[in-house]
Amino acid sequence: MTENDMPQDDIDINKRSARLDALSEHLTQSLEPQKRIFSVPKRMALWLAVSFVYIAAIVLVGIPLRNNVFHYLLNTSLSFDVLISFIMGCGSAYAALRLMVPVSGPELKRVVALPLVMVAVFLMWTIYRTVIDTLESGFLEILNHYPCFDWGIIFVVIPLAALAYLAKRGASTHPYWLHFMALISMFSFGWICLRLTCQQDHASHAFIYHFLPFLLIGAVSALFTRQLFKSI
Amino acid sequence: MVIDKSAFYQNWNVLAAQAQSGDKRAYQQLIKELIPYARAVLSGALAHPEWADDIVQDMLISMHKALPTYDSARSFKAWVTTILHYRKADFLRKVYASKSQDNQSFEDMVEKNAAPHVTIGDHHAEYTDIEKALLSIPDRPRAIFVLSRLEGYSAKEVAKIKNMSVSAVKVSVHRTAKRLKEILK
Repeated sequence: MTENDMPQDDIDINKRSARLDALSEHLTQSLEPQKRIFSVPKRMALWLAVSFVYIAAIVLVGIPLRNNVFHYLLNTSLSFDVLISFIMGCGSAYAALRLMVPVSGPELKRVVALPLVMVAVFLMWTIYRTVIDTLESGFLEILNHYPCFDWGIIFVVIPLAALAYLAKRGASTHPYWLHFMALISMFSFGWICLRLTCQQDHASHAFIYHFLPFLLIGAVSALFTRQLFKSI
Repeated sequence: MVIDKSAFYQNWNVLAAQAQSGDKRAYQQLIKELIPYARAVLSGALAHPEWADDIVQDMLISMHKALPTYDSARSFKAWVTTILHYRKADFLRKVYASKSQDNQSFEDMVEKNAAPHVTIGDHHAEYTDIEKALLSIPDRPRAIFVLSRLEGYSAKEVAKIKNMSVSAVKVSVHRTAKRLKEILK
């Protein structure tokens, strides 16, 4: 039977099968030994190490810790603030690193559950703190200039760049979730850095100078998700 | 012959790990086994069965690029199925986003998109009625209606072709549609 005698559907099926065979052959021939991407714990350790060294260098060189930081950590609600931010930061960093490789829908839910719960806890805690601070001492002179905005950006730029660099070697099936988790992680660690360096404890100050810079970065960077975080 | 499915899929983990170290024979075997699996997963999930092979192609290319991200301690089947679903969603998004369907006449669209098992013969009389009703509309509004509703031109484009304002085009199309409804009642 010649091609002219065959029904059009059969001809199409044959052509498609031939295309798949040719593609299989091409992929097989172009295969080369590949360097496997690091496991999630290894990537996490690498990222934490880079971020810690960078932040420590910043603290040593230009932005010192606040006076009596250990006293504040032991005696005020600052320790709780830092603790929930740390759990949120580590959880979301782990989620971001996990999402750099193909992840199924049910696994996505498991991976992002902890960071999302921690975001809810953090928001409730921050709102509570803002109400208490405002009732106790009113609004402070929040419009006075504080360098926290600039500091916040300096603290997070390298950790975020390191995450984006690690993501370049991955192939995500959820680039927007990956970006969102990276932003939460960046926000959490930036928040901790500012809480440990800034002398001003008032919640409204924290909202304007510690929270808004990260919201701004997040909103702008959302436009570049596909460029920042490689999808499959 | 009974095939032990779990052993069969376990073997994919081994083949994928071998492929990562550059074993072309293992990779060829893996692809050979993956194609029918992917087709089976997609079968019944698509409006057009012929899309399946396009999606399988996309999946193979993505899998090839993403191979370094596969962790041999995990299930290869789950990993590759995730890629397959991602490619399927991406493919369907592109298909539905494309405006190619807007530029076809209604009859062409029906002809092209009808599944092979669907017959449109019963509706032929209705199309003839519509054609007759259209012929009863004066030339100029009919031409505007055909350009806008059947050939897929936007109101702006029709306005440019007919040298009239966009709002006049919209009014004309609306009136013609209303008139056709009355005729076809």
